[in-house]
Amino acid sequence: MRNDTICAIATPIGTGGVGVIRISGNDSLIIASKLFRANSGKPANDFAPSKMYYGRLTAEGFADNCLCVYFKEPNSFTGEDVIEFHCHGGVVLLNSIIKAVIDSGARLAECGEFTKRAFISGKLDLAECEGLIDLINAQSEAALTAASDLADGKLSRRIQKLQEVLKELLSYAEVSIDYSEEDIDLADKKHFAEVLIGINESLKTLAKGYSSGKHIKEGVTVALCGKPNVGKSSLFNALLGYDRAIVTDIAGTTRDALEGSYIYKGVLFNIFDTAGIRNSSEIIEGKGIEISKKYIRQSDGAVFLAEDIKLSQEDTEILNLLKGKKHIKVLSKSDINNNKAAEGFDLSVSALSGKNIERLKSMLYQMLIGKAYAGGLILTNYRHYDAVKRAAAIIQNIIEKIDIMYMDMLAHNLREAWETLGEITGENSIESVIDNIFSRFCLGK
Amino acid sequence: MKEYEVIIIGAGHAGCEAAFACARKGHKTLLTSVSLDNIALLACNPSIGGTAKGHLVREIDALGGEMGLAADEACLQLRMLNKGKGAAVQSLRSQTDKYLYHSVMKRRLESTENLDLATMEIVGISVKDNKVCGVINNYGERYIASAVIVACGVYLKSEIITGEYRKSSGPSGFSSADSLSQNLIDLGLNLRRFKTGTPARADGRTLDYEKMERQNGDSDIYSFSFLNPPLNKEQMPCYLTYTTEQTHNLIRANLDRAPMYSGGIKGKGPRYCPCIEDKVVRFADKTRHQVFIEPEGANTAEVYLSGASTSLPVDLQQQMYSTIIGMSNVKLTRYAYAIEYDCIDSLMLDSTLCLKTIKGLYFAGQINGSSGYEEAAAQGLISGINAALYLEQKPPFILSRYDAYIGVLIDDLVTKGTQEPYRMMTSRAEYRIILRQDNADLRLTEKGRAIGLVDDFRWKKFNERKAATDNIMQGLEEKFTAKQTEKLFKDKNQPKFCGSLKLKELLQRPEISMDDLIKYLNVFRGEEKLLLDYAENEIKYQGYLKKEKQLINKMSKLENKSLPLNIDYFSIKGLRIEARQKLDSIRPLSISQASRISGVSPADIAVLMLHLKKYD
Repeated sequence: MRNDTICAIATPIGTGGVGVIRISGNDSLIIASKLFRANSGKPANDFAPSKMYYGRLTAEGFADNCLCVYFKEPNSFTGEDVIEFHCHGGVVLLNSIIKAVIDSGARLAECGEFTKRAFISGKLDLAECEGLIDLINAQSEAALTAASDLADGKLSRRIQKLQEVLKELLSYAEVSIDYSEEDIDLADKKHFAEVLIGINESLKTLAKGYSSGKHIKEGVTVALCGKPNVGKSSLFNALLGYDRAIVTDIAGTTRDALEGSYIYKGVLFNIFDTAGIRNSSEIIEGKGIEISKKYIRQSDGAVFLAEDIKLSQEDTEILNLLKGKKHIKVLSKSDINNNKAAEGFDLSVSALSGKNIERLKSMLYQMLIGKAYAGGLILTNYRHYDAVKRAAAIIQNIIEKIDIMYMDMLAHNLREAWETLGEITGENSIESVIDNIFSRFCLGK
Repeated sequence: MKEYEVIIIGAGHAGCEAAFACARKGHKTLLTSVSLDNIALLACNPSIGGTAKGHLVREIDALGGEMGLAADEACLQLRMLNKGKGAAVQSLRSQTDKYLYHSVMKRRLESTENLDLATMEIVGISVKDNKVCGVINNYGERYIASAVIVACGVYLKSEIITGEYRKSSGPSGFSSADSLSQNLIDLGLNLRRFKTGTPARADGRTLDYEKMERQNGDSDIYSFSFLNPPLNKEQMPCYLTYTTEQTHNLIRANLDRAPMYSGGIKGKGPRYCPCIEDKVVRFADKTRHQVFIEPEGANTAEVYLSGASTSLPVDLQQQMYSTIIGMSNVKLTRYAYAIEYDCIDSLMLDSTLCLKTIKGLYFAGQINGSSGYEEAAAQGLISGINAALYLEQKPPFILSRYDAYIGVLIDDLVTKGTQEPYRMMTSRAEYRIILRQDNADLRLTEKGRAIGLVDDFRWKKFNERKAATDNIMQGLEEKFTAKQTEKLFKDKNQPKFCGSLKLKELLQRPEISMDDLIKYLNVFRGEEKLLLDYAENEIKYQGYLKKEKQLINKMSKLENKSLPLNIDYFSIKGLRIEARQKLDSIRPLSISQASRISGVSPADIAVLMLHLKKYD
């Protein structure tokens, strides 16, 4: 198959010191020789693979010094001929080069197309691809670890191990069916059930890690809420470590929710500073309050803030909104409140002095991430989570009904569970799965 | 020069079914063999059926083949295996009178129109412009034919081995065919060497059955063929006995004289059917191995010592067999032997069992690297049907993996190939809850009718059975009240209910069987057991059947994505080298078939799909 040639800016959009343009496909080298001339005078089609050449990139309307590398297939990321231009950063410049590359015969890559080609050329298995995408999008250290676990194939190996055990049971079942007259010591159903309970525990543990896994990958969202002027914006700034919100004494200053983030123990915390909630007649503020309620609903957790131990009618209404949501009750302005015992509160903080701010961060981490992430393997991807859950459900069904299951039914179920886990390891992946994954891929690598 | 439309080389289980199919489809057919005394020879086990094999027999029968009818006629004992393990994997197994089976099959061949039998060794196949045009025999006679089916079993350059003794010979003393191998090589085929073996036969009167476990057949409720009523005849017993530590010690002490270990045997043997030496060495911790004593026929004292095949030298054979419980005075009538033979690489065939490189040249049975009478017969039938369709210039007949075990068998052979004699197993079928032996006729008889192998008699019978089945399924909709089912519910510890329940709702409960419905509610009296089995399974396996049907839907979509035969795999970028080579040599017909080739990864399949999309 002749793959057409694709190109894209491989570095993040924005101004940076260096910008990389990647071209992959059969015509990569031809395009390079059209646009790039090495200072040594060597034409691009004579370039040694994996060597960097310094030279000049010339196209209509501009010329710039840059570096050029040629990766010869199959020893490239996509497995195809790849050319990379390492140029000066800057959106305008990079866009002009991309335009020149497209004019020379390439087309702009679709979302995830480079990784898709890498998968197709057998460079990466499914789980590895997904890990790679996460790696690129990783926003925090823990997400990076989870993603690189995936890219390393750790998850695949773990699942493969479980698959192995299932295969063992399946073999037993099959032998007893196909060789019914043989004198073979067969594991009894009790043994089957015991082993399956073990596998199910592992799967459940993996599945349980998903919500915190998802949090690690995507970060968690926390809404700060409370009556107007109880110090939400001050606390917001204190958590972020810099002034993001305007702080005034006038109640209702924050009209829209402000978003900011900090990283704690490697996890990204996205904090929303919501408009103070009260029954307001002012239209704009009223809208802000609506938005606040929406943020509270959508966030993973919340911090309820009040300035007095004695809760007002409004405070109680806000607390009602938090029912069923993980939240921490915080007494604010503890510098002014003079360290009053925070009865009925989880914590009292002072944004001004920074008192208990670290403690609040730690409590938020405990509440939302908990012990789930102790460096163990964590599911961060919905497709994996889904497969693990389905496999666990099949196995749970076997465990419950094993006594009334004939051997052929048992074998059928074991096989199904085994194949379901295979969806993660890629051993028996089907086309629809592949399509689904690749539609989620984002441009960049 | 004599002229036929089809010539079949070999009159074993494959050759017979192929001959019936071609002749019945109206083609002038010649069936040849080195001896007509080896027609449909049960060269090893005097038994037909068994797990998955019983399914094959039923399927052959449903398509209008012969094996089931002959097996019923020559049956000495019949049992349904796996009764306790679920309906999907139950299989019929019979003890078969090998002499009667041979003569029944010979008589049926003789009375078939358009079919000639001839004793000769075919030494060459003539090919012109990549098309078969005839054969030449050992007397130098030439025959014209547009289709040739090679079904020569284990006879090509076969050698039997017992210890140091080695002789060029076919099984059971029939002569081997030593010339055709070279001709096949000249035609571009790769030959390989496989090995199999058979135990000694003994005079049954010298065994002490008192020391063995007697094994009777089932009471007479089934038969192989859908045309036959449940078998009703006296059955012969088998006996189960065991090897002893003495047996094992003797073998261990003499491994240097066992060709399996001294290097005398180089051919690849089946792992699922090891000789006794192999069992003792590889499973050293087992203190005993099973040996089944099976009758060779109703009119002979000879018995078959199932489970104890060997290639030990004859002096050791005598000693070894007499250490088996109840066999201290055993008189052997025929020594055990291993047999090595040439076979082809089945990956060179397409799904019709035709050689990819020569039109009209078909291969079926053990020559393809399979083992077993039933596997051979199934291939024979399919090759015969396709040879006939080729002559008629009609589209081929291919059963898919979800149509039949036959489909699984042939797809495995031509897609995955085999590194040892291939045996059918239920676990090879991914849709085995659908592919049951109780519904083989419902799955296949209409197809057999369309091909022209199902005659009016069978067609009428099929339609009657189908109507009766529909009737039972309809009957299961009938409602019963709590009062009517009171005793059943009490005996089966079922919770009370109000109103009424349909019979099928009762049957869905694991604790309630079809037999219970008949016994307690007095329904379906007098209906045939096999039909009731079918109905019961359709209800009890409802959820599983639904799931498999969903999977089949998915698979048939991939099955419909056909791959052009002239595709140049080497020019497809992105395919790994191994995949390119495998795809190029196997040339799968569909994406689905390609996905089953070992060495072709899901990534390769994705590349192929992209490639197809591009050229759509």
